[in-house]
Amino acid sequence: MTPDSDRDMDRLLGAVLPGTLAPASAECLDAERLAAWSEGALDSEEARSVETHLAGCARCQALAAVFARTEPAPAASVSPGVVIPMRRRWSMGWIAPLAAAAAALTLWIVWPGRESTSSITSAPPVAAPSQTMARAEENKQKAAETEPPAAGFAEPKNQARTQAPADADASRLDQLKKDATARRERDVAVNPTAAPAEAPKSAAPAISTVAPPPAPATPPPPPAAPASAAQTPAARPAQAAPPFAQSGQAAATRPAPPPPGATNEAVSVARPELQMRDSAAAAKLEATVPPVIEIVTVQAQVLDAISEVNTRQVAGGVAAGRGGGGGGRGGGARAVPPAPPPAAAPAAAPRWRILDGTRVERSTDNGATWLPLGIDLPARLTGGASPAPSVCWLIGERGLVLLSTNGLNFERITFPAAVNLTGIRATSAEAAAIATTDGRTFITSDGGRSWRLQGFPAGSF
Amino acid sequence: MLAHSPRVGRALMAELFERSQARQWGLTVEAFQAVLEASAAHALGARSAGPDDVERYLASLHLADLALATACAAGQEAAWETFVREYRPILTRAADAIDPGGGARELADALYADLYGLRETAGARQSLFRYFHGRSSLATWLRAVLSQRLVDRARVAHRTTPLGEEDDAPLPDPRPAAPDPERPRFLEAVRRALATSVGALDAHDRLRLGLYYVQRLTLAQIGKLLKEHEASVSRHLTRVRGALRTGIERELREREGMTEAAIAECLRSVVDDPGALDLEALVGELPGGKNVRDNRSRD
Repeated sequence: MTPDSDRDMDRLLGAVLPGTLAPASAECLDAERLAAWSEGALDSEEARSVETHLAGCARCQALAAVFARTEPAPAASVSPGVVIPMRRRWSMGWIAPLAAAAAALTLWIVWPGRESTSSITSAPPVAAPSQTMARAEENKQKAAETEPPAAGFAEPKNQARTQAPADADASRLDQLKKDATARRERDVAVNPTAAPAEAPKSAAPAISTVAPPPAPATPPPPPAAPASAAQTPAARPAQAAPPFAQSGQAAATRPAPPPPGATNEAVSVARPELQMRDSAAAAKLEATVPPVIEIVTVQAQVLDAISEVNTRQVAGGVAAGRGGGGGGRGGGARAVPPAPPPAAAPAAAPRWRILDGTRVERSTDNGATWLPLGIDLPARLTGGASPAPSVCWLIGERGLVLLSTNGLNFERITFPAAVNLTGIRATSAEAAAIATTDGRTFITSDGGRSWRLQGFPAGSF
Repeated sequence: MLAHSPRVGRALMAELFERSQARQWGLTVEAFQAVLEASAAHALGARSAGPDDVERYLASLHLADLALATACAAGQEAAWETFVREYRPILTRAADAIDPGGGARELADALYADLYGLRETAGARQSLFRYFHGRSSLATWLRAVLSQRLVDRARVAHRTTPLGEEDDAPLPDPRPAAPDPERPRFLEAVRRALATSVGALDAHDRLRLGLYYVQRLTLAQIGKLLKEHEASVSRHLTRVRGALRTGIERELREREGMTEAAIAECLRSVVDDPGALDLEALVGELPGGKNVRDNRSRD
């Protein structure tokens, strides 16, 4: 069977199978039978009866599907609820990989240096970068192993929803892609920062959505043409801190927390592994989440100052034309001296720290003592930011966003996507930009009451 | 009371009561025995179950959860405190997993009222817990109840539109419709062939297909639900897809007398617009002359 015929069958089945399901009937499953069946608690005869009914009943199949989705995924999951229109899923399904790729590529190019005065306060003992890369490769292989040859089924999460089923309506998808491309082009024409390739420039409110290339002993080959202009991670000297949240890998290169009072951008733990398609591999890499993430206050003007320094560095690098090492923006940044450390925060500024992604503690004496905060966490935390002494944003998996305006009590903020969040930049209790594992950046300017997707006009959500 | 089995023996009851730790909720042995017998009657009542079946069934129950649910249904305050403390996060996580926007939390919160039983019948509160018989863990049952509420809400919201219809509504085809005189014949032929092929699948294969193509679950989610590794799900789907393809081609070749070229042209024509298939007729023409809908409903 050729790939084309596979896609044809996918289209045919996607269109035909819904109509083969029967409507609800008196035989439909109740919650207890479904629960018992899902736990394997039914005897074989009853289990077979349940499965036979599930195979043909629209209502019960939908029930089983929703039930399956009530189980929080161990890794990034994008499957939305049953009421989300398929068209929307299709559109996001193909945008996400593109956005992630663009973000990773641009970060590779313009990453201003990770050995700088850090914006990250924690020193999480994550795996060494080379190990991380090796693990990423290993997981890619595992993901590939789960795929049957030429079948296209073994693509869980995003990919699974964009391959075979997507093929079921390829013409619709093509049309959506054309529309989205046209929309992006319009956005770029109006606002150059909307272009994905330019998003991570320092002046743009972008965030590191994935980890930058680590500094392995043998750096990985840079990607294609744009990357030829980029500086390899190992060749980069210490530079100014990037204005946005950085990765766990970057944090791992810093041996110890900064001295008390040093200002730092808050932080998130980017996990590029989560972009991998194999959920099992992603789940395995959950272990790379640092056990401690510390958050200290960074005033907005400090972020602006850092951003300005980085902008100058990048611009200077470009203007210098760059000598040796490949040229381009990244290389240009090498010639610029490191930025001065940002101004220190007040000594008594509170700090927060996230332990194992599941507990939050607060210190008001520069970390000498920590008091636990009783926060009901529906998912693991991955990072946070504090733009003011009384303001703290926390982000986590499956779209978890929490905000405190008094430093103690956190309120859940509704986030428009059920994806893992990897980075945050906040300048106040109202303004924040949050990056997701699938490469998108969401921006709010009203404390999370509304969000817009970077590169899209307000009201996107 | 069990229809086909004796009451739970005293020794067994004492052991089950001990295991359930029902005493901590102030439940008496007699009250818990009544709950166990009701559970057994609910699960086994329609069958002729012997004492061994009953004992095996009772031993398989989640007794501690059943005791907690029973105490909650009775309004025991300490039980409620425990329930809220231990199970509220589970419900919240389940709701957020479905709808991170918070839409499902509303339903999860509304469950508490039903679990407590605000409505009364004959002076007694009708707690939702009375439907929990301990066959699964309480956490799984709560997830299933929440799922049920979500599906029911969606069905009510789409009462005039069957589930999935709006999702599958085809976009207007931007291409001009090319008149194909053979198209009606092709559609009819593929319809018959597909009906035969789908009907030949066993329930497990149809369930996998449905969860993947209709419900849009990921392979991992399907695997978890069906207790299979996602790679196995993938292999099975690939196999079934291939079998369907082969079955359709065989039907077209043998029943319709088509050549290989005609089959390819036929499939291409239909795949370009499969929405034109008469699905009602499709499900009604399975082997044996029975309507699959009726069969599936009764199964």
